[in-house]
Amino acid sequence: MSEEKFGHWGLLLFFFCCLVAMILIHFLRRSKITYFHETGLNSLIGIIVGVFIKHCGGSEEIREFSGFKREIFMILLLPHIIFESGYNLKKRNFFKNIVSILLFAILGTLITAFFVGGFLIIFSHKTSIFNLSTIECLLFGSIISATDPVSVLAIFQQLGVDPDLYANVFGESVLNDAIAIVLVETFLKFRDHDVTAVFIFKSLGVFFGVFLGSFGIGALNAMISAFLIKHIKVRDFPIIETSILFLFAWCTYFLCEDLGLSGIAGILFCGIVQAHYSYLNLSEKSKELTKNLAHLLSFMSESFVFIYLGLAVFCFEHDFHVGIIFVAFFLCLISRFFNIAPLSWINNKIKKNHQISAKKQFVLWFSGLRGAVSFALSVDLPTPHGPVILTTTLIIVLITIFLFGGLTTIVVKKLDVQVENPPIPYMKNKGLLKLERKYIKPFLTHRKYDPAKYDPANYSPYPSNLEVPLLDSQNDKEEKIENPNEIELENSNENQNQNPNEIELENQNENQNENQNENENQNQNEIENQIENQNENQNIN
Amino acid sequence: MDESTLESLGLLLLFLLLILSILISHFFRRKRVEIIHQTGISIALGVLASFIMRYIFNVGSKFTSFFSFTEDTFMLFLLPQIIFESGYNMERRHFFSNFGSIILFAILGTTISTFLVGGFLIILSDHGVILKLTHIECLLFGSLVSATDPVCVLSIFKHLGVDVNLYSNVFGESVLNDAISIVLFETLTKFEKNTTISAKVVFQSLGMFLLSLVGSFLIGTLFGLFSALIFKHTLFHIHPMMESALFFSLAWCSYMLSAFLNLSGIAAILFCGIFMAHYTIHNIGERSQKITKEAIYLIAYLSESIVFLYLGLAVFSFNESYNLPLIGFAILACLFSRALNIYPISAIVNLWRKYNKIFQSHQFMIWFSGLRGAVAFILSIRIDTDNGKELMTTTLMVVVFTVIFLGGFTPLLVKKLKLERECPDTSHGAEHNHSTSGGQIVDDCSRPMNNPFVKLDKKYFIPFFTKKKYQEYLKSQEIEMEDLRKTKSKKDLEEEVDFKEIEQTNNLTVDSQTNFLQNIGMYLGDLDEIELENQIENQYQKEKEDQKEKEDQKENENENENEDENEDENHIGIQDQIHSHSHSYNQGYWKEVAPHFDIENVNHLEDIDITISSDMETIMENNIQNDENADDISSFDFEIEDQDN
Repeated sequence: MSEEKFGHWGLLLFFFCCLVAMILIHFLRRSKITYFHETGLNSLIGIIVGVFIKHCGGSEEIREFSGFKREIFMILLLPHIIFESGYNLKKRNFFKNIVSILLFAILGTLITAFFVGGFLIIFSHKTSIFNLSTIECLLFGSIISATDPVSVLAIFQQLGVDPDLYANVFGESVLNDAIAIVLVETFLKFRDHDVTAVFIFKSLGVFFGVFLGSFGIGALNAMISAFLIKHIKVRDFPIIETSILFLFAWCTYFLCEDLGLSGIAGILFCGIVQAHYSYLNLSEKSKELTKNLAHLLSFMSESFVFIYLGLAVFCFEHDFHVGIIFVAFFLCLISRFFNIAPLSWINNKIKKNHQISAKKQFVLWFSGLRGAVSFALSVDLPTPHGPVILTTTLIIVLITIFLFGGLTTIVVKKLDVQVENPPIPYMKNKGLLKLERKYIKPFLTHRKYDPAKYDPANYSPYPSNLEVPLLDSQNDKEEKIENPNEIELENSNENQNQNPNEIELENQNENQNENQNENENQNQNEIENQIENQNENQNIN
Repeated sequence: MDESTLESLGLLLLFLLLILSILISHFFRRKRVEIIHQTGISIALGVLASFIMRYIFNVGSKFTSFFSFTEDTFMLFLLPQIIFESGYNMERRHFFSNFGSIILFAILGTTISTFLVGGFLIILSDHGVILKLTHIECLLFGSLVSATDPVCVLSIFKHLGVDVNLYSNVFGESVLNDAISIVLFETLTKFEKNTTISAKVVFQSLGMFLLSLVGSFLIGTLFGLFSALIFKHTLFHIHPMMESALFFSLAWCSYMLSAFLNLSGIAAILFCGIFMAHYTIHNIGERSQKITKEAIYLIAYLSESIVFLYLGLAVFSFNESYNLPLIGFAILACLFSRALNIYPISAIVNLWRKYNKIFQSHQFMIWFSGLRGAVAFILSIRIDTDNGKELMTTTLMVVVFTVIFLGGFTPLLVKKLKLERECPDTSHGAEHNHSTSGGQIVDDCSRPMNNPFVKLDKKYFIPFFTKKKYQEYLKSQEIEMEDLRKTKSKKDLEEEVDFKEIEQTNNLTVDSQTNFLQNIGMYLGDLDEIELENQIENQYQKEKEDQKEKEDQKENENENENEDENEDENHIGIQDQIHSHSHSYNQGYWKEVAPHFDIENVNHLEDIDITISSDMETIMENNIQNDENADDISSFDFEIEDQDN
């Protein structure tokens, strides 16, 4: 078969798996099973198809087809996933918990990476269980430190878990992906060096340089895009607005890569900052379009990654090493404990009003699933023991997805961390924030005050278009829509869905409002009062 | 530089140029520069960038390696979306009413032009006038160069609002002939490189061509219908994101499958798009419909821009393989062969048809709009014979020439030949409406469709493939259409004559509502800003007074009506633009116009005049038909009041 054929064949296979997976996910969501999430289903379908392919002797070809190489993951799939998580970040809760999130994400990831890496080094040098080079141990540690609790988050949202907890888990997973990727890239750069203390410090220095550089470029690009959209009159052309937004994000990615920085970190910060400024300049139509499109792209990319993961189980050349798998798995669990517990303690010392209780710490520890990013990073590693690392990562990802993902509902219900009516957070208008509101924001956005947009009724603590399995009660009602005569029922359903816990058929208002909500503080914000007064005056005139 | 950094540098360059081209074309559109269109701008920017790369930074040769890998990317990641979008947004009604001519132009015309261009080149190269080419190479070139490009011309047409029949002829032809010339090309590539042309070969290739056309048609159709059934029988609308992801996956599956089976993926995804737009889209939920439509449009828009940028970038990336005589003769051959295919076929069509004939001016325009574009270029990259490089650069120059030269003169020509539409069309002239209105709204209610296919479709396929909601809605719409037809047939004669007189004298007094609108249309051409302001304000006051009286009278009735309408909307949802069209057309129109009246942005006023003039008649007709909805104008008044404050 020609090379092009491979492309068609492989993509056909992927799309086909996607189709089957989506149809099954649909039925899964309609059934009342909560201990089995769609990431699991995707990889399961991948596994089944992989078995078939292997049986028919096609595994050789699929492996060859994996022109789905590292670059494909890094250029085509991961940026979409990461950009979406930045762009649809629920910023108000995120910034409220910023201290703990940053602690968990930056320090926590480093702790995990070096803890796992260090112990692996010790094991491979002192014992004869396995034999990885030092740099490979560190690489593995940083690969495995990227958490990806998609299924846990979905269940949190469905059960209405404490928004702070949700924000912590979500924020941590978003940032730590970027950090793990930067770490891996740093180690890959230095893969020919000897590991010494100097090396560690050097690589840490490079790591922070890369991280800050990517952050700067991402933020800068996003600000340019906000400025552009503000000043050229494109409000009548949603397509152009949307294209500009996305193109700037992708530009950030490639610019960072060209400068030797991390494209993924760049695109993440670009997404966050764009949601903060550019988003406010968009017309209503493109606001929705950008959000949905980002979500669609990330949804498809994620399905692809998990299907690929499933296919990899049987179709790839593996180097099973039971010793490493055991050791690595337990190291993961322990390292996560050594990451969460001390950092929560630090957080509790610093922030008196955002305590992380023992229960929440347990949930945080529990939600350390590994997923798409870890797997993508482990594919096609250019080191001698690449296959070992791939296999180990694969197994750990699968175990955490099926075991932890399945137990989440039980854990959440047992620990009782659900909250009925979460309070609406607000940010005090002081310090840097005040400066930002006073100078940067007016410079980059059309800032108009609209009281209707700050309606607490529209507030929801969770990202709006994360798709969640239906609640049981809701499920029954939805089924009746099948009958087109009972449209009254549908209408009543839609009304009910406006509860903050049931986001299934989300209302559009919420979409438009949430970002405005973030930065506004109804009671204390002087600027807003001024604007409101101005508005009132205008009305009187 | 190693390969991956070069790649990402190239991609960075590409995206930066893309942003630049979008911004520039937006700027031109606002300044109403029509001579160069976005495709032209993309190409020009690409040429400029590659020139700078080559002669100032001296990195041109490195970038050729960057371009060499792109063919696969084109075929897998760019082309399917472009074709899918064109199939999806096809205006099916006009398309099918011109189906005969389109099919003739597409199948017969493409074949004719392939063999004409090929034959012309064969003769020339056999006599040593140009480079020595093998017969297959000539035919390959002929087939790829007969793929006309729908992107550039159509967006110009849409912008200017040309006659609907001309539009659908050009559209249908260019969309279908892409598929056909690709099939032809793929058939030809299967032959040995040195085969000489004989009758047997020609028939063989025709046979293969028909086989793969039918095969890919079947696959596309199957996937389209299969998707309709999936969405009909599951309750996917509760997961909008998954629904649209599934929608896209199905479309791409059809492409990949038929490409895998050695058929034409392009043709498959085209037909899949047509059927999905006809059945599937009505079975999916409101929200995902919106997402899907916009995503389709956006992705296609970006892909097209990228393709044209590549085109431009390629110009200076290849070394010394430009063969000037070949290029010159190729362009000549293209123009001649297109003339020799359009005129005879239109003559045949005109013999056949009793009404809806293709006029002389239309024929000329169809000939003129034979721009070559992305598809031709992509195909030319795939030639791997000895003279492949030359043929590719020749194609490149043909594309650049036609896009910049022919594309640049199209607006002028449309105005010269007076091809602006007579029959009102729904895509409001402005391009940005395309994504929501393209292909969906049918307004030409004068002639019912009595095609046997349409009847079959109505009777069996629509009930089988779509949800009950949609069927009910279709029925209600049919009844409405019939009412409109009745009222129209009475008024038709009187009113249409009136309109023509009115247009000549520029003095319209038909209805109190339309009066206002027409005046605006006139003002836009003639008056200054201040005058405009004053006159519009006067007009408002008059209108307000009139309307208040009417409102008081009709308040009770309207309330009832509104309730009905609201209910309707709940039942039916967004996909039913056709339905809400007659109800809310006026409102929608006012909303579109109203924002432009904040007097700060008088520039905007310039932007609308074309929309108004082309849609004037639509509005007037609707007004005549919907006398009951006289209150629509009041919503406009309120908006103005707000802004005045």
